[in-house]
This record gives sequence, C-alpha cells and structure tokens, in this order.
Amino acid sequence: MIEFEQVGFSYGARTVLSDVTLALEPGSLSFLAGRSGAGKTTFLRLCHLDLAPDRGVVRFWGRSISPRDRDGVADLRKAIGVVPQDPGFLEHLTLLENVALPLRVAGLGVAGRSEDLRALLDWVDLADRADAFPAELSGGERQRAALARAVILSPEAILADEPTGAADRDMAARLIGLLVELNRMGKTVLVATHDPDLMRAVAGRVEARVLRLEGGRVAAIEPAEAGAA
Amino acid sequence: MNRFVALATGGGEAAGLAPPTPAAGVAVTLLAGILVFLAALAAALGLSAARVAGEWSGPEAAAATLFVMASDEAAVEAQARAALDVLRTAPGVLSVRLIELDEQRALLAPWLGSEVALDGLPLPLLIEVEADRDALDRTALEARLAAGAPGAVFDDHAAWRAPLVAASRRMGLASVAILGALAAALAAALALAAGASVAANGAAVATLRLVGARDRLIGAAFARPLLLRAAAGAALGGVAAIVLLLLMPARGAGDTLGLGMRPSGWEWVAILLVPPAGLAIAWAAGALAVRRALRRWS
Repeated sequence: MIEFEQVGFSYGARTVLSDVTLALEPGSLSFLAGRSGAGKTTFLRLCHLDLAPDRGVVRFWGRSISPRDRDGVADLRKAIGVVPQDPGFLEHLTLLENVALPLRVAGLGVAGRSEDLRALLDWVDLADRADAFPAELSGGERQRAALARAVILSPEAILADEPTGAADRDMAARLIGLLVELNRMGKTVLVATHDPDLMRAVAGRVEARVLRLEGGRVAAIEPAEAGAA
Repeated sequence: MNRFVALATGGGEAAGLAPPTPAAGVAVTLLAGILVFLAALAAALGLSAARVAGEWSGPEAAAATLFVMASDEAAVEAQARAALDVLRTAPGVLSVRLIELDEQRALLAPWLGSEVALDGLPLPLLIEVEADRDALDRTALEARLAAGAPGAVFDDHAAWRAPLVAASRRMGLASVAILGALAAALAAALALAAGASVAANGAAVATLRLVGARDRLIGAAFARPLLLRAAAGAALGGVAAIVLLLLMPARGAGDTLGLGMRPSGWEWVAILLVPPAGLAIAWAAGALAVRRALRRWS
C-alpha cells in the first residue's frame, strides 16, 4: 500500500536515506528501528508526504503523488493517520474538538456524532478530559489524543513516531495495546521506535516485523521477536 | 447574508479553526471602518462634482443673456426693439424674454442686501435668450447685433461656466483617485494582517495539514475572521458616512450653483455599494495573501 522505490533524502549535504526500497503490506504491523538520527522520522514523514523524496518514488496504493499537488497530498493524509512525536494540536480548541478536527476538515461535520466521539475518547481513556485544552494535558494524554485523532476517519494506515516517548511504562503498554488492536482490525501500522520493550510487548500477540535503518538504508527486516532481542 | 458570508469565507467548516488574534481583529475593524467612511464621502463628492459639471455644461448652458445699455431711455427702447428683431430671426435662438426691472431688482436683492436702494441703480435692459448651442452661430449673431443694436452685449455665460465645469471635473477625477488610493490601502492592510496571521501560526497550519486540510480550507480559516472583522468595520464606516451625508445640504431650489452634496436618487445606491465593494476588495486581498503565505509554507 505504501511502496518505496530507490528512495533517497538529504537535509542539505547530509544524506539521511539512500536507495531505500520496501513495501508496507496492507494489514501489516511494522516497527521502524534504528539509532537516533538513523532517519526514522524522515522515513515516516516521507510516508505521508510531509517530505518529498529527493530521489526515487514513493507510491501510495500504486500511484505516486506530486508534492506540488497540494489537494492530492491533503487527501492522502485523510487516508493515513499520523501520530507525530510531538503531536500538534490547535491550542484554542478543546481535546474533543481537536480529536474531531479531521471530521471537520473532511467536510463530514461533528453534529450528531457526539456519542461516537465520546466512545473514541473512552477507547483512549480520555473521556473525562474531553473539555480540557491541549496545554492542560500530560505527555501521555497528548499521545493518546493524537492517536484518537489519527484514527477518527478510519484510515487504512496509521503511522506513529515514538508514540511512547512521553509515556510511563503503564501508559506505553496501553498505547501499544491500542496500536495492536488497530492492527487486528486490519489497519496497516508502522511505528518508529528505538525502544526494544515496545517490540517485545507485541511479540507473540500479532505478527510484526522490524525494519532496521542503518547508514541511510534498510539494513535488516526481521520478525519482532528477533528485533526485540 | 449568512449564506453569502459562509460561501465567501469557506463555509462553516473553516469557522474557529484559526487561532484567535484579537488585537489584529480590532485594528482591521477600525481600519476598514475609517477607509470605508472616507471612501463613501469621496464617492459622494465625486458624484456631486459630476452632477455640477453636468448641469453647468448641459442643456441649461444654452441659456444666454443680452444686455442693452444706452445713454437714455428712448435709445434703450430702440436698441432693445432692434435686438429683439435680430434675435427672433437668428437661427438657433429658441425663445426670448424681456426681464422686467422689478424682476431684475428681485434677482439682485439677495446679493446686494436690503440696505442698498435698488430703485436708484442704473440697470441695463436684460433679455433672456434660450438657444440651441449647436445651431447658433454666435459670430454672425454678434455681427448683426453690432449693426442693429450697438449697445447690446450678448453673453452666453461661457466665461464663468467654463472654469467651474473644469474645476468640477477635476474634483471628480480627484475623488476617483482618492477612491483608488483608499481601496489600495484597504487591500494592503488586509493582505498584511492575513499574511501575518498565517506566519504567526505556523504550528496551527502544520496541524491542519497533518489532518488533511486542503489549502483552500486553511486559507478560509485564516481569512474568515479578518473578513468578518472588516465587514463589521465597513458596516460601521458606511453607516457613519450615510449619517454625515444626510446632514449635508440637499440640492434644492435655493441651491443656484448646484453645490448640494447630499446624494439623491440613484446616487444613494452608488454610495450604498461602497461598503460591499470595500469588503470584496478586503476578501480578495486577504485570500490572496493567505494563499501566498501558505505556498511559502509548503
């Protein structure tokens, strides 16, 4: 569903990714592992065209989208839910309004959906924080809110960048549990992390693989059990 | 109206998406109000000037006056008869009317005041002439008058009308230039405010893009609050201008020079179009500036 063909990307003179070729299969759960600065975030940003590749092609459901096609990029992002490392929110809107933002942006409106929205917040344990503003949320709450926002349009793929970075052990387990749950629903999930505990928590529960980034390339693709070792 | 605003500002989906900017909003309201107020007055001035120029150069300009001066009353009467004969047979003269002395005194009274003894003034004999300017051969008429009535002077009022018409036309052009300058100022102010709003809220733009917002929606989200503020300002400025214009002297019977600035009839429609026109300029400038700012963010 998302295919990289000989993709390269550089920040100025510093090459972060070079000649990356791989495909994320529908319904798969993958971890993107590697040291800090290995290019995990860059890879994820290429996966929803927040960055455009310098070289090669990224295809989405078989077709490439020009970064200059602004509407095309916007529509792609409705089909791919993203949980960024630093989840951006509209600080003047409540948590509920932020989570419902993709519905408004997609022109679907929120009228008559309050029960669905409450259920979604309940799913991420934030039902009692619906009226809080983003500045009042903890790091873990912000990550779960970002996850709820990422899935509200029922996208086919979910990308998460270090989703447990700001969460304690229990919260990290809860978050990874939610991602596994989504994968079991048939969603394609890609999680960038340097935390082997996260892969360990998944191992044995669902079929997952680890894409290990080194030297700007995918150095290894291995099962989660092996990747966590 | 709500439907129009929704269409012009990107619909209800855009409402409230941009972070509020109260200080910029107040400035935009104030600026739009002042500029629309001045624009409405400039439009009224321009319309008034055009009306005056039209009246002074239009059909009424075909009116002329013949003065007959002579040493004694008998000579005046003889010359007046000769002049009337010439006028009645001159091509292009439509009608002639002798202005009685009493009527002359009544015309002079407002200018000279009641303290002047009008009865003692040596007044010329006046003949009002209505002429078709295109058909009238002024040179031939003056030649015939010089032969038959040497004390008669034909005055078609061109000497004093021409500079007044020219001044009115220049005033009309000046008001058009003022309107253009005010429109440019409004466009620049809105463009600046809208561009600054996007630049100051890069994180909000990034969030909206992350969840799949198209640039059109993001643009509407940032332009909408400014447009609504500008609309409020334009409405206030328009109302203030209309109130002021209603207090201006109207064009009436006593307004012999046509200087009444209060609009009338269709002129009110033109004045009422100023606020929506200002709003259209504000919307176009704001939307363009936001689109440019978003392109820079790509």
